[in-house]
Amino acid sequence: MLLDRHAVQDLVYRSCILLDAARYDDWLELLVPQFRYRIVAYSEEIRKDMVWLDHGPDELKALFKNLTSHVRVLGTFRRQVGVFEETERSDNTIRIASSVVVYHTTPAGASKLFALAHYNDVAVLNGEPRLQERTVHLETRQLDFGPHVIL
Amino acid sequence: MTRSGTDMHHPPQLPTTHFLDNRIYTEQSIFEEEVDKIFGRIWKFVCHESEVDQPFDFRTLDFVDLPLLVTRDDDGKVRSFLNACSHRGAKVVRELSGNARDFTCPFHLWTYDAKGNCTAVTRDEAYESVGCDKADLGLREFRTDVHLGMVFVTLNDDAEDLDAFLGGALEQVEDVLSAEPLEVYHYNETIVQANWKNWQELDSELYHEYLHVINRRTGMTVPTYFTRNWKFYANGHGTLIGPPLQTDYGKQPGWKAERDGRVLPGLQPNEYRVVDIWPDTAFVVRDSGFRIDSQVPISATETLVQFRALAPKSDTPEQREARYRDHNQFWGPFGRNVQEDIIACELQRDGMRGGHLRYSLIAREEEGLTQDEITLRRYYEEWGRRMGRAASNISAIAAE
Repeated sequence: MLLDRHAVQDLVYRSCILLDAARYDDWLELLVPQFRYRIVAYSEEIRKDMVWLDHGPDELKALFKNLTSHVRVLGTFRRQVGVFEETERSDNTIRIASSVVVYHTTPAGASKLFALAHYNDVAVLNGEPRLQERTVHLETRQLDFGPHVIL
Repeated sequence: MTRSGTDMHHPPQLPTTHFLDNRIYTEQSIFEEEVDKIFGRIWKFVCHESEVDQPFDFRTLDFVDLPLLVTRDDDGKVRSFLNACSHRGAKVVRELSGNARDFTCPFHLWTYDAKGNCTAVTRDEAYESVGCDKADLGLREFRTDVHLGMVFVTLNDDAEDLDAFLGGALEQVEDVLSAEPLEVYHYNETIVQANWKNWQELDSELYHEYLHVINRRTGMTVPTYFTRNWKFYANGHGTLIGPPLQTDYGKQPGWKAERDGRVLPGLQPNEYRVVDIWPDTAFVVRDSGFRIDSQVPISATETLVQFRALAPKSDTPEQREARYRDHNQFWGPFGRNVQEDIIACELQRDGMRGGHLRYSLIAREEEGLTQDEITLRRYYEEWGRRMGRAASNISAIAAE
């Protein structure tokens, strides 16, 4: 199959734009039913890999639905993403590696780096590409606050 | 009725134990006094023994304003030292953790062993004429003790023993901590823009749980939530006792009634416990999860809060994965609750800026039950004893 790199990269970029805009229902449309989302990090302190979030689509739906009932940090997030590697696999999926920088902007307009990370995505290539897996490898472990949303 | 500026600077018409002078949160001079009179004299939790599990394992961290090196020596003893070279004061160990038989200062290559002895001085013959012997140049060692796996350190050579300091305050978690070997499997930290006491108050003052929609739904709807009692120990420690609180997680939309992780030893499914160790450490237990909060005060309005989670070493990969899910549901950096605590602390810092709000209230009385602010009154009774003045009137001259 001829890989449509533009469509694959567009999937990653669109996933960020939708999260930035808090369009969670639209973001969920980018996923296949067996989607798995994880945030992981390596601790230099305890010398262990850590899992900071591990959710499927149903848990993510609940997370998004309950967002408004939480006391949350005000402001917006902006995810700057650059796809740097695409590896096509034999099972009609593709592995996509991206570098991600997340900024937070307060209601007063002050912007600050929130986190550095990598996305390691797996997308299904049947028709319009869909995300099957996203693992966020966080480099930033000392976060200023908890965002309540995913990255 | 609103209040004028004059009103705001009059102490509330309450017993002096029932309100606080907010300058205890904002004045740098008070903070510096706390560093000396509190952190310079108490036993402070620094890490779990699993962080230095094997001989020659080490861990570096901050103990308020000094760099600390924690080691396990070849005899298995956990020790701690000032992480600073005896020669010119450079920090010796820069890595956060590791395993090493020797520690060599990168500045002039002086070397120390896991017992803190100075074992090598570069071209040491030049010190002979002045009688400088490396046998006298070991690292500054601090008294270190381990209780139920928790490593405590004191800077005070004359402090009472750790067991006396704790006074049995860990009895509510002894079954959890002693049944089988545990390890820290989660660690994260955040710098909270607030006073260090603000964070400790969150772990002891459960009236604040109205902040958390999850607690309102899953905890406060359980009848035993409001009927437990606080028990206090010497030196300001406290714990919640009484009928077990079994959280009803199913009340949160999208959550299951029982969590996935293997329940920790001694606990019932969904059970919640809390132990506060004065002045800056808390153990919070939720069925499969054991969270440790500890703090590194940075300034009057800035605090590094460290979060650890404990699990049995015997967890299978599947059990650990489930335990992670439970932990992250409530507590992890992307969980639901701790984030709200951070916001609340920083709102306190913001609200107290400029000293316009002189006093805050710790006046709720509920016969020592769950949301009684007796926890804060006991906390500040100990604070006053250590600081030589009441937290309601810091202008009083400190009694030496």
